[in-house]
Amino acid sequence: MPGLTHYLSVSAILFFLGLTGFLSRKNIFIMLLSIELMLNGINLSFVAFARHLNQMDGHVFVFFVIGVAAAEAAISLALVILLFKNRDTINVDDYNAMKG
Amino acid sequence: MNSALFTFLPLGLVITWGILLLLLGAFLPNERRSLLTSIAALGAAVSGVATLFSYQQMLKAGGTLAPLGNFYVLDTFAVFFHLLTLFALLVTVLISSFYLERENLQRGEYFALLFFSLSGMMILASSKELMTLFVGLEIVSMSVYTLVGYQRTSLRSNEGAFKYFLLGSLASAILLYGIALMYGVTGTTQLAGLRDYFLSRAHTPLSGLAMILMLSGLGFKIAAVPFHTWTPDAYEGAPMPITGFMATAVKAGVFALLIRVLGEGLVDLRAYWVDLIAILAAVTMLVGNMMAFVQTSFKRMLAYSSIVHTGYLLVGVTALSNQSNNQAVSALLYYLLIYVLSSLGVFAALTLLSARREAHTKLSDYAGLASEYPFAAFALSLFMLSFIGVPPLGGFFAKYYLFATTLGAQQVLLTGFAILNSVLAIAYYLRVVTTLYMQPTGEHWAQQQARPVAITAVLAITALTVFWAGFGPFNLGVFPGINSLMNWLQTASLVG
Repeated sequence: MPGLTHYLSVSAILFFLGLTGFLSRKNIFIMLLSIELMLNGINLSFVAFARHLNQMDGHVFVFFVIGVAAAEAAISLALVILLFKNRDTINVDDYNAMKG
Repeated sequence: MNSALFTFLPLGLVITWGILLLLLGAFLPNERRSLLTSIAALGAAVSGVATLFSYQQMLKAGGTLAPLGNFYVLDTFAVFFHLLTLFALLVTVLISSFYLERENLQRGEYFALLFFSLSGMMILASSKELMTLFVGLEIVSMSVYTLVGYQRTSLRSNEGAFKYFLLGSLASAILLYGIALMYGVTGTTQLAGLRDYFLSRAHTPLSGLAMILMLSGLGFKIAAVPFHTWTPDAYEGAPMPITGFMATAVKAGVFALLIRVLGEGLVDLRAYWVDLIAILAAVTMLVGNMMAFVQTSFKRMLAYSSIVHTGYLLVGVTALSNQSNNQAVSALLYYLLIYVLSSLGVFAALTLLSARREAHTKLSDYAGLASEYPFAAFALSLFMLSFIGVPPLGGFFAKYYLFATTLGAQQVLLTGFAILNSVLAIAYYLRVVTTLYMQPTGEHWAQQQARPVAITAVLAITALTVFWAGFGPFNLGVFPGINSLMNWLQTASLVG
């Protein structure tokens, strides 16, 4: 029977996988997916804590997070399309119009 | 009307006005779109009056209106931030009108997004619950990401928006993980609940991790070094009025959140976070100053200057505690007030002067401005002197109150370092003044003759306030009211 620690470990692994992916990959889409992965790791820990504490709060927070993630996805895709139109690349290292 | 409903009057008005502007933007014929500016300015003014009205109701009800428990409250602290951000919104709307026309940008969703981001800031100032605060922060961020990228054909604007978005959403995720862990440890996300929990129970490694994650996430949002890397690019890429909006309203909103969380929720963990914040403040001031010094672009220099001011404000945050809370909070609020007013003035002047496609953002473009635009040059120099903290101006008293409070909180070393840094900052602020006054006038100023009334009015008002906030404490009689302002700020305490 998996307990709180198991869920929290999985959630931490998801979060740090996302963080590593965000920091190491240069493709915009992979970076955006990494952020989604981090958010889902967080959702898992909210739900796990809510079950552990026997509260409804944590379950409700997950819906807020999903809403925020959806809004983020909408904005990010709009921005990617805009950038791709102007630059013809999805590698973040090529976005270097400003320095210093 | 039930007095409890007045709590939501300012927020409701701002949201309604945002939706109204969005609909008008969609259905008004193109040639009548200029109406949107007046409607937006009216909206900001009406919401300001509504806030004052709600404040009156709040006083009648005994100082706080909290019909939703801790999820959304109206207290003096919240009213201060509502009024401050609404003023920043009004100024941004006024200077944007000229800017949008010059750059030939669509007005449609611009003002609506400004109002939506303001509704997020009101939540940041009013909520005492972590998840509500998080959602408020996201509302602010999402609207501002879009506004930074508003100049769709400009590469800089696209890139600035994208970098801001990427690092902003990373920061949100880190902050949220901190909130999740804090919820797991304490079983609550209410700031009052956190306070009760840590009053009686010890700090554990897990709550330490939660606190560090939350502080890192917030560090990104307030642009503290080492989390500042997005700031110069986003500030440089954004349309000039939006840069001003980010440096003033957004910064004030996030500081409202930071002060609430550290001054109320985690105040009993002060022993654990105070050194972290002190180190963050010291690094922020030093790196910000050094980077500001080497910039050739005026806009980018102001981005680093705003990072330095984040550092000063963080110095003030170290003085938050459950005893001297009152003084630290009012010193921080006063500093934010003066900083926001002078920054608004600076960005209003730059909006006026930067020319089409923001051709003039280099400091050398502003050489000898004083002979062509004497008033704008005078106002700009005044704001720079106020940023330095030259004695009879508002910036001096803001710094004085702030550093006096931190000295009172035994942060002697940090305060000394902050004063040293404000001396270092003289170098690049004074360079602006000498460029404006003591160099031969550039030829491009002759062709540029626009002098919109709205921007001149904004400059006059902000410049006067900077004078007033400086000379007021001497009780000259000509500048009444500063004492009552200070007394009012004293009532904006967090822990009752």
